[in-house]
Amino acid sequence: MQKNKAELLQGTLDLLVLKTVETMGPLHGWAIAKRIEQISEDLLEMKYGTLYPALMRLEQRGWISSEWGASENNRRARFYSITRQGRKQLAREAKSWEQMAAFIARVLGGAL
Amino acid sequence: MMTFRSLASRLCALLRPREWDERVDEELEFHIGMQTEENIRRGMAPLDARAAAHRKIGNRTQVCEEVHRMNTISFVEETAGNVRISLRTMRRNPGFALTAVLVLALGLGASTAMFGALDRILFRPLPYADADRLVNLGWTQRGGGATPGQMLTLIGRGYRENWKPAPDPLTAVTTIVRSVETCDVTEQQPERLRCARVESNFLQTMGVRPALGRDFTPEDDVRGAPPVAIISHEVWTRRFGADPGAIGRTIELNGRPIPIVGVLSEGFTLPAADAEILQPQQIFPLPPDMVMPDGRRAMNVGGSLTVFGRLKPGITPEQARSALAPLIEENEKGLPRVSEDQGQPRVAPLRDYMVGDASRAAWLLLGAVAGLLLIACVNVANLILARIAARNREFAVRSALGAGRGRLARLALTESLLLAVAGGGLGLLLAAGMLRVFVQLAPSSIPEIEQASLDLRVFAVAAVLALAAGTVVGIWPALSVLRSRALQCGARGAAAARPRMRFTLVTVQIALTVAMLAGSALLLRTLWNLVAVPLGYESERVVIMNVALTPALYPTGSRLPFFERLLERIREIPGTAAATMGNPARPGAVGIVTSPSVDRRPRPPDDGTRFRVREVTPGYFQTFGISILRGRAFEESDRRAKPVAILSESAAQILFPGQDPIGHTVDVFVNEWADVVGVARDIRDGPTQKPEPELYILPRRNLPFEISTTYFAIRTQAGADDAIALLKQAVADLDPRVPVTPEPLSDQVARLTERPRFVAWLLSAFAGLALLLAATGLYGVASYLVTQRTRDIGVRIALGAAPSDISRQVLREAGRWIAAGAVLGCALAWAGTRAIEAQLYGVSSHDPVSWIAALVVLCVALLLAVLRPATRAARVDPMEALRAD
Repeated sequence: MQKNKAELLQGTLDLLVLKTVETMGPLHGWAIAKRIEQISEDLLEMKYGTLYPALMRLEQRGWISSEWGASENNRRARFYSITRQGRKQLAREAKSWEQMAAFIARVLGGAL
Repeated sequence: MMTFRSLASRLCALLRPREWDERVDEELEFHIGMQTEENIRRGMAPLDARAAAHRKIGNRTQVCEEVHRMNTISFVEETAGNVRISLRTMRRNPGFALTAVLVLALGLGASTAMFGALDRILFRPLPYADADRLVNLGWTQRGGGATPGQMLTLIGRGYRENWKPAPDPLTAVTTIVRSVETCDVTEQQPERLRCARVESNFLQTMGVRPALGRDFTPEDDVRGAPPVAIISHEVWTRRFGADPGAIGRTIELNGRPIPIVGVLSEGFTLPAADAEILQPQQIFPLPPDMVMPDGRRAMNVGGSLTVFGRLKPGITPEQARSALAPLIEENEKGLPRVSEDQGQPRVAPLRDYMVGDASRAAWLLLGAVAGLLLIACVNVANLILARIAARNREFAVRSALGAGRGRLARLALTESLLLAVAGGGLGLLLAAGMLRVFVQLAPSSIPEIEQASLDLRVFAVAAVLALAAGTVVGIWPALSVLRSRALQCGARGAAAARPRMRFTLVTVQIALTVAMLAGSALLLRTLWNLVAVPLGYESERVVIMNVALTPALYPTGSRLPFFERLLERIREIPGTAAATMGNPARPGAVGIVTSPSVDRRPRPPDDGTRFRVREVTPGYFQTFGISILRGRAFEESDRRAKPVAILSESAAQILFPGQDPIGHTVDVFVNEWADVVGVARDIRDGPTQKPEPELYILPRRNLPFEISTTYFAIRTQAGADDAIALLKQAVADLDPRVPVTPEPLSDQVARLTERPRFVAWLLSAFAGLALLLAATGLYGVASYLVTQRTRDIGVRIALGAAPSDISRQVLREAGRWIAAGAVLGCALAWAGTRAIEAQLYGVSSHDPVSWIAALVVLCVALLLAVLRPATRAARVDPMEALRAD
């Protein structure tokens, strides 16, 4: 069952989280995880455990901010939103990711 | 320990990690809750739903730990843990910890003490502003100073004409009168101080200002201006109770009240001299009609000066030397030559002037002590390595429990750092004691050593040394832990790789020891040679004292009569075999002249030879045991008859080559012809100096100038202490205001060789310690190997090997290490001989005797060290060895 699922590439989790928070507005951790899984159409195997350290890392770097709020079912949850610095970082990372992806596509497409 | 822990937790609290811990906990709980709900919605049973949610999270503890690590200074916590573990292990094996700490303390203590002693010479900033721009310059000649080998840099007094304003590339130039003279305070609490005469811009050039009052002005320095003085902080405190009102009061010097205009700041010293009172030079201007025979102006009338200059920024002393050399040379013309050395212009950094060639000896000692520290570190590394081998299992277990390699390496490093800190602390105590000993032993010719202290800077160096030692010591074992593949390698696998490393360590130790032993053997031979050089006189049983008369109390014409009365008195001291005025141990002669004319012929042209004229009284040769080779010594009756002279061997050879000088005449002072009545054996100022030609005459009366200071000496049958007391009494009987400090001549002579003695003994002590450490190290490794091979040895004995074969094998193996170390050490020392060459006398740095002696001492000591392990190996009981595992 797990064999077909791709491992999350090193360093891509930050990018995914930033993008998700940017487009969806303030989200709590579980929603972010769900959203990423949903978009990947279950192709990605994601250990949720890795998400929370990543969120805290991003927050410590000042790319996202967080505050307590009430969830849909009225529980206390932490909501994350992107900061201005986070947007800049996202733009930078997205660009370099695209370049990398294009390059890999070219290599795999037989450019060599 | 507790404080460490509470400190760590407080630090963590400061960064609020608990808040983060709680937060991640809450978030995970929320996440699991949401996931469980979703799972239930999908139709799972509630319990399964929650378990699945947990699974999806992964290892929750790990997540918490990761966040925790991210947010705490986990380093502190881990270190605290490591420290706890290390202390526990050390308590369990106190022998190891004690040895390691002692060895490190020895190395660190010796190096800290040595650094403290030499810091002032080599590193400490001088008490002047921008001291690296200050230089000493002038014409330099070897010898002539009080200390053998000291450089004397002088300039003629005429320098003021050519050197004002300061020539490029100097921004300022200043002088002090060459010799700092004693001066007597002749008011209440009479005492003898040292007075220096400086140019009015001296303090300004050095970049210092008086702490109180004013500096000298150019007007103070004009010949005939009212005299003024600047006093040292110490005199100000001692004589004036640190009263600011001292400015404007007077101090009576040599019978003359001098107004005080300034007080120097605390800790100020003149370069390479000590003086409590500064006065302006007030040098008379050169008379315009003073002309040298060749028509040039005489620039050096009235003695010579020591010159200091301040360089423009960015100019090196070498650049300044090439720019200033012609000017210095011009000035030098006709400076009195103090030896046959022709000399040369010199511009040197101030520190070089102050420290002189002492810095070479200082570097040598620092090098030796660094070697000792290295050996100590290697020794401890070896000890730790042995421990690590024994603790393989422990590390394997730790690794199995999840400790990463980095963590294990850090643990090993923590242990060695702890050892280093303990060793450093103990070493500091040791250093304080050793420094005392160094200062006691140190020769006066190593400048300022008596002020050496263990201060904060020295402490900082000790701390850095300790930590560096800890790292060095820890790095090897830590690397070996990193390389060891914990659980899957049994004790054997790891141990197999290690003897080579331990062998390397022992070899390095032996090599360093060989180098130090060879160095100290060379220095000891040098010392032997120096002591064996005959100085030409007998210093045993002679007591000598310097008597200086203040011109204020004893005007010209009264001093020689005083000296003669004093001589009469000391002749009557019981036990006195002979008494005289004069001192052969001091170069201080009455005059230095060019070759005198002989037999009423015209004066020969100056060929650079200098003769020393010594005024001595009859009894001189007898008192000092200087043999008369031809003719006779002076007699009392000579004083009333026509002038007579005695030549030294070398003087006789120069003046009357191939003839008997007795009966010839010599011009001892502008057409004062003296009959040569005897030839005396040559004397030397010091063991490394060549004998200077000497011309002995009797003291002359009725001269316009008169000596104010002279030496008195007695050859006594009594003990030195009695003689000293009686000499003091004799002077006090005549005039209690004249202070004297008689001392045995042998003490003065011993001082001639005190620096080589100091360096040789210290280096030998260090080499001895190094040998001890190397022997301990070798003993440790050999015993370890024998223990490890007990099984193999047991098998061999069981198979019929003779015990002597076994011990021979151990010895052979140790012999291989020793040989490797010795070869490496010889190569090392051979390459380093240049460092020691300057300290040697009468022995080549490649002297085979010294080298062989060093190697013999090494081999004997090290073979003794392995003898015990070797015999232990031979006594292995095969049955027990085989049963062991």
